[in-house]
Amino acid sequence: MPTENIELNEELVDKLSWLSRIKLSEEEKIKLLAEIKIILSYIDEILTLEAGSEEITHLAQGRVREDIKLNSTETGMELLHQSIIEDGYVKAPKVYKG
Amino acid sequence: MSSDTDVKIGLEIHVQLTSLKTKLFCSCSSDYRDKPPNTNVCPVCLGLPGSLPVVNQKAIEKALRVAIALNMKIAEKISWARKHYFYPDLPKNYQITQYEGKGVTSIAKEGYLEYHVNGNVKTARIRRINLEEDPGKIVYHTGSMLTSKYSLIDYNRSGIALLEIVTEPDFSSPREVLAFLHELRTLLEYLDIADFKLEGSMRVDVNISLAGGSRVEVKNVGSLSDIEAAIIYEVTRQRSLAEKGVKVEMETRHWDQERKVTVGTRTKESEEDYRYFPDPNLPPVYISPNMLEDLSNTMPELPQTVRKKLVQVYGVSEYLSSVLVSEKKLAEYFEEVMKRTNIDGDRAASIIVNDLVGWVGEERMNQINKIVPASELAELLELLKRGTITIKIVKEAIPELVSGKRTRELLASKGWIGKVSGHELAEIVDTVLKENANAVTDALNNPKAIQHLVGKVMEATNKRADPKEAFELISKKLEEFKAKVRLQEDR
Amino acid sequence: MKSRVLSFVEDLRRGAADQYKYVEKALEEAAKKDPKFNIFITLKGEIPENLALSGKLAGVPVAIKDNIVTKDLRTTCASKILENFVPKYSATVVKIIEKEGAVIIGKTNMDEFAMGALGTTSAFGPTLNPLDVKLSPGGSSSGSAAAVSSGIVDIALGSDTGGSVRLPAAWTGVFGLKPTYGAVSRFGLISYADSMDQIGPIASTASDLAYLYSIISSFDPLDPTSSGNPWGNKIERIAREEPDYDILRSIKLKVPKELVEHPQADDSIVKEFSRALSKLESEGAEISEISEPSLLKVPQVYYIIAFSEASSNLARFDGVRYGSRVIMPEEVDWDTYYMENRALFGWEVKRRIMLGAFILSKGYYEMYYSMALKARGMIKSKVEQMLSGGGIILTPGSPIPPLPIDYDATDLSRLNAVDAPLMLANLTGLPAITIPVGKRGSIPISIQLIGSPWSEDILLSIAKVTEEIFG
Repeated sequence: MPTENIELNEELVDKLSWLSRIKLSEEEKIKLLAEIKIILSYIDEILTLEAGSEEITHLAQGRVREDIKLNSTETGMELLHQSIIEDGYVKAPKVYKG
Repeated sequence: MSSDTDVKIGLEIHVQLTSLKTKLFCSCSSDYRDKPPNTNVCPVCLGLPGSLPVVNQKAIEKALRVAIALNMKIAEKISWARKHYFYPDLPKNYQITQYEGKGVTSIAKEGYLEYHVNGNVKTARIRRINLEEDPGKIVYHTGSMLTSKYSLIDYNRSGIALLEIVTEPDFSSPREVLAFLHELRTLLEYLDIADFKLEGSMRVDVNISLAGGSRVEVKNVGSLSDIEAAIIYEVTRQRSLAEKGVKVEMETRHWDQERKVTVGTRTKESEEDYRYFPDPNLPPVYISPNMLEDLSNTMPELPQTVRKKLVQVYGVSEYLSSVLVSEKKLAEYFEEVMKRTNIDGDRAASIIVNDLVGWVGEERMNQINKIVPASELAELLELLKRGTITIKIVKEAIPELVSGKRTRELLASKGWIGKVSGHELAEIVDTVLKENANAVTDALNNPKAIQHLVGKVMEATNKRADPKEAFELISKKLEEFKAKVRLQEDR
Repeated sequence: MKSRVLSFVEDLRRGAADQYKYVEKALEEAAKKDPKFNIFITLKGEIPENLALSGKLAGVPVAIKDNIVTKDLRTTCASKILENFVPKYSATVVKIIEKEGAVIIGKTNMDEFAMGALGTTSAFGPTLNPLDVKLSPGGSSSGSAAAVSSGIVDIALGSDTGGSVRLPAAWTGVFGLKPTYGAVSRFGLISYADSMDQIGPIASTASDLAYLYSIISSFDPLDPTSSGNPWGNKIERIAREEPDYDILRSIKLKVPKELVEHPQADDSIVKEFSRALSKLESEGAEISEISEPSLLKVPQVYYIIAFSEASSNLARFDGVRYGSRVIMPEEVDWDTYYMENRALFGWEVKRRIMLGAFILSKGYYEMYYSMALKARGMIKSKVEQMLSGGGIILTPGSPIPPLPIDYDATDLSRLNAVDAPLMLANLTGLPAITIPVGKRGSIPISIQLIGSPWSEDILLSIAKVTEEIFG
């Protein structure tokens, strides 16, 4: 079973916390590690399925639209009414560390 | 900087599809420049909860035309992937793009583009082209990223369609890169993909490595001069590291436009895990052979074709042909003019390139036909061909036409119509020589001073004489004069 | 049973009803029952003025699950992260029903971001089962089902990604439908797993179910996976007309035995299910047993796909453009800002997001995600075979009675019996319906039917007949 091959440890939990940008407390990290093990051993069961070779990614047909302008019925400021706005810009944290 | 054969440069070029009316996945206008921030947005390009993307059909068509023009292998379907990373200018914290792998393909791969550099023809291989969405723009309240306590985001640009063109590392000098980019831009203008006069319409990531060394990516270089500077800086940096025996790190660097240096960032590109997977909202759209055939049959004339046509059909020199072709509207203009005049093609080209273009100015080039209608210029050139006017008059007339005057009225009002030559000119020469005795004396002793007399004749004929003919007549007269004087002296 | 909504609308048109009556009653009932069962996250206090007099849903009160965006009406997905989110745009289905004069009386409780099967992951406390407050009403559309089951409204909208309309319908004894994928617009449904999400109707009668469905199922240009449907006005006619008893004779019901003989299945429920089958047979239905062991792995395949898509869809909640903020932008850099704000997600949501990130991450994609997509292909073909020649899959609505409200759902494998028959329809995009057929004490008994794509007309027809037979 692949779960045996994957390193299920705190390092993995830290990595997932980072990839998801979700801060975890120490208790949560322990809890998550335990639960990941349980859930992975469950979903590992699909590996004994004789799967086909075709990946089904979608259950509908692809569609396109024409290149025609339509003004939004709501203004940008309405849609962003719960943002912090400064001079019409959305205020966001800095993208520089330090 | 000469071509160093150990330098390998590859390009990732992002071109905005400015010719589309709307964004890639929503019906907001693609014309986002100069609009107040966050006024060209909707729930989709803001990534608001519950919003969904719907693909712009024209974007696909344009991308396919580029694929055809670059001789590429085209995928059988258009499929989309999500590329995940967290950044405030990316509203969904993933970008909808295309990818090679995981059931998703680029629109096309393995093509090439020929370009000219140093009188040689080179071939650059194109690895792949993809469509993807542009993020929003970040500005800084202090003007600089380093000193601002927070960022300010304008999402007007979010969702704009980008075409990504990735080349193989087939370049070995900035000159090659610039020549290639010039050729590529001309091609893309001919395909009506983008207007490169618009700010931000093209951004380039440059990948540079020295023989055997790691590849360094320099991101987001804007102008062509910046690209040249960035390459030179980076190659120098890598060389000096190599000389010291220091290993060049494989990394992503940024081009600092102010200080003109490449700057390392702390995150390594290789550490990013984008978790690509097929976008579940966007089932693939199949590209039918019919559609491709239609597109192939309705391709506009490509620059290479027009270049050859100008040379072979109109007799324009290779050099002038290249110049005309580099601006699509200019080449079209030339052909329009040639429809209406019998003047020699190369001569017309020369006048357009050397005289007209300068007065019109680069920024207005794509309106050249409005500024000086082809018919007006053609009329002027036709009169030149027939000998009714001289080249000098043409050169004087052109700025007047550019400022809005019409040929016929202009020539009439200035009295420039009617070339003065032969017998008529000879009489005027006589008059001028009689009236300028001192100048004549000068000219007898110093042949260079004949030019002054030529000038006087031109004045007297209101520039309707051919300066060469005037020169010859004056010289002849001076010779006759000299001969007379000698005779007199001999007596 | 006649559609209550239709009766009202027709009376209203004839001038034989008070246009405010229906909504008034609903708000009265809500005021009484909401405190008991915790059904609504946002409940309107007053009747709006100027109710419509015409329209297919004129004056009709509707409850809407709180993951469906409603303009100017708070939409939380039962999460602290969207606790105060007030959208300025509406979902397409909301626009449709409001255009027909419907009155949205409130937004119903649910599992946070639709992740859960018991209604217990809501940041606003669980909804209790109106049939027995010690029991879960099922999730994730717990509030919408309870709103119908408790008699506050006759129709509600929920969403179904892995059984989230059908399970609460089964556990509260009402009707629920998951449409064919693409039949109902997803624009404005806050995404959990885009390849499987659908908005579905929940109703107190089969006719009301059909009526509401006929109104919300249509092509939407704003939804890239939306389809037009082939029914014309057939579904509305089914809602209006008498049940078609012949329908039972024209179908071949197939019962996958592994799903009924499941080790986790409750014996008395299974017995009730068999009794229901006998009754259907006596009315002319042809029922056969089929065997397909791979169906037991359906939930595992579902979870791999759902976790992955969820981790991607929930990436956008970072507190920049909207949403709760525990920290201000000028205080920290962007990574820290996101880490802090996103800690507001509830535990179930957090673990699914991180598992999803794991599945999609370098090195594991081929192992899990790619495998799951292939498994989905295999299951799809097997199901297509089962459905060929007029086949319809028949299972219990739930093989176990509603679980207690404090049930520990950490180990998802313990829900395999409940999940498998429901998730089968989501994985394959097929339409499915939950039909109540009776009670055992206070435990509701129901059956589930899964049909071929675009066979909702048949499913709804069967629902109407079944309703009469078991009435």
